[in-house]
Amino acid sequence: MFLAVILWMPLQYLVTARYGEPYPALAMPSFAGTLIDRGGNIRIANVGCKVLLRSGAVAWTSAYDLLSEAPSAYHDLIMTHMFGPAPTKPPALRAGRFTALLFPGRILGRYRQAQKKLDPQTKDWLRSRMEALYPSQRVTEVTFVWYAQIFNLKQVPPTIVTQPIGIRQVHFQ
Amino acid sequence: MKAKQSIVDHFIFEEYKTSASTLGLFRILFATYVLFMVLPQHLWVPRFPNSFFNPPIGPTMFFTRFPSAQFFLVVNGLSILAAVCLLFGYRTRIASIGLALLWFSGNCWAYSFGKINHDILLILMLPIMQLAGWGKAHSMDARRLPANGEKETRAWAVALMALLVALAMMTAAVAKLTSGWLDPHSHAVLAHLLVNDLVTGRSNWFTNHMMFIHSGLVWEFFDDSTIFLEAAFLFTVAWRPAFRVVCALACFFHLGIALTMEIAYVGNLIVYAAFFDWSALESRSGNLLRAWDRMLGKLPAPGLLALGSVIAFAYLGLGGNPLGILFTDEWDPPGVAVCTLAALIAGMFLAGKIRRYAHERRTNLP
Repeated sequence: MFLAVILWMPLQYLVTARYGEPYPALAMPSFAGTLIDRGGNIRIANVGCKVLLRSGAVAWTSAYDLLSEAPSAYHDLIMTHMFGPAPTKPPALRAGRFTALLFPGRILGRYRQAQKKLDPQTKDWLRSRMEALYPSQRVTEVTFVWYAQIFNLKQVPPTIVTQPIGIRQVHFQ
Repeated sequence: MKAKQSIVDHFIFEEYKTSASTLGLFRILFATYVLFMVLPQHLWVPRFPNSFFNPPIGPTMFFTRFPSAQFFLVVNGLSILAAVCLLFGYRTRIASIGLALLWFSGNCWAYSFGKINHDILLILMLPIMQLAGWGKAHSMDARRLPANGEKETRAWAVALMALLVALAMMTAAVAKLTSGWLDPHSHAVLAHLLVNDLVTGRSNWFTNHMMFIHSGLVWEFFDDSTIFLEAAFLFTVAWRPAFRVVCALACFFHLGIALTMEIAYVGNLIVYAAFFDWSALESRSGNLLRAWDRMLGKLPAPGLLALGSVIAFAYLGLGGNPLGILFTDEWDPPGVAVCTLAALIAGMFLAGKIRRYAHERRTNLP
């Protein structure tokens, strides 16, 4: 059993490097990457949800409020996967028919992320969330505004620069 | 060759010898943690449509959708029942293995959003500590089956658990080592604190004050010591006293994370507790333990199952455990309290070690 555990580890590293972290895996949170470059810049991707109401007013909501039904640890990943900036290139999925047949969940997940348009189920869910967040108003459009905040802690005082990354728009009409 | 073999044999069969009583006390602690801080879990999953399904490599990649809400209710109901049985040590083997399987199956679906929480050691602990013999003391099993109630425990199972912990911690160290954490120009802890503050929104008094530290040396110390601590588990696993010291130091590390990043990683503290010598508690609260053992003798099995069912219905009806209902905010006071308590126990343990070491040095002087 001890030997099996030791032999499992290289295999796990191999799978993780090739396909991402599997579950189950004998692993702890990695916090990999320093997020900081040699110039002392810390680049952080963030998202804001711009909500256009029928009255013409604009409201902003956070990923935290939008995904409040899920634990906060999930928010970042769900936002990136489900509402990340719309891809500019057509999806480049190279999954064979056999792979798709054997691992439908994996392939579907990657396919959905590569789509420009939001899945109808996701759109319906988003609409219901908007109804819950803005009960007395009608939401006509949600725009996920992705931006990078670049902190330079070497500057005195520290500087913060904001750069746009991309957007994903969802219309409800 | 023989010497090497004897070292391996000693590690597997001798180094982690633990009394049945210590394992029994750890079982009670583990079950209490599960009942008050873990279950019920994943009840939120069915609130999301199947389009959110994005499984990692694992059992759920063969599926295309989440199970129904009833699935999570049944999994949680049975898990709570198993955890109650584990607490009182009733049918410990079935309860341990059952809880592990239920916990794992629930996780598989919850992690099919693409996010994996690293609680695998807690799941592995259930069958392994059952093999070690955590049901052989302070349990209904020990009283119900006196013929099988011999107090012999399996040291190899505890050693296996220690090896699993060490290898798991090493994955975190390797990930940091290979991604520039040791680079003196990078301050990874600072960057991760910032992300946690600005993206995840977990910010508090400690975080704000940490940001005023402008010394690169301090931040580099945090980066390097994190890697050394995570790697130290594997380097000390063959020698239990040193492994315990690393576990104790890790308690301070987790308290630091709980205070600054608001991530109370209580699960790992419970894992480290498996290697702690709980006999000290036994000598200090002997009356309480004797009362517990007497109560176990009077508790009928149907009564226990009824109690488990009532707790399951109450938890599922309320949608959470008592602590979860009391503390709904992201800032997790019970988690921070447990981290603080663990750090206090670890501090006492380390102080005792230092005192003993100093005493030995003094007595060995010519």
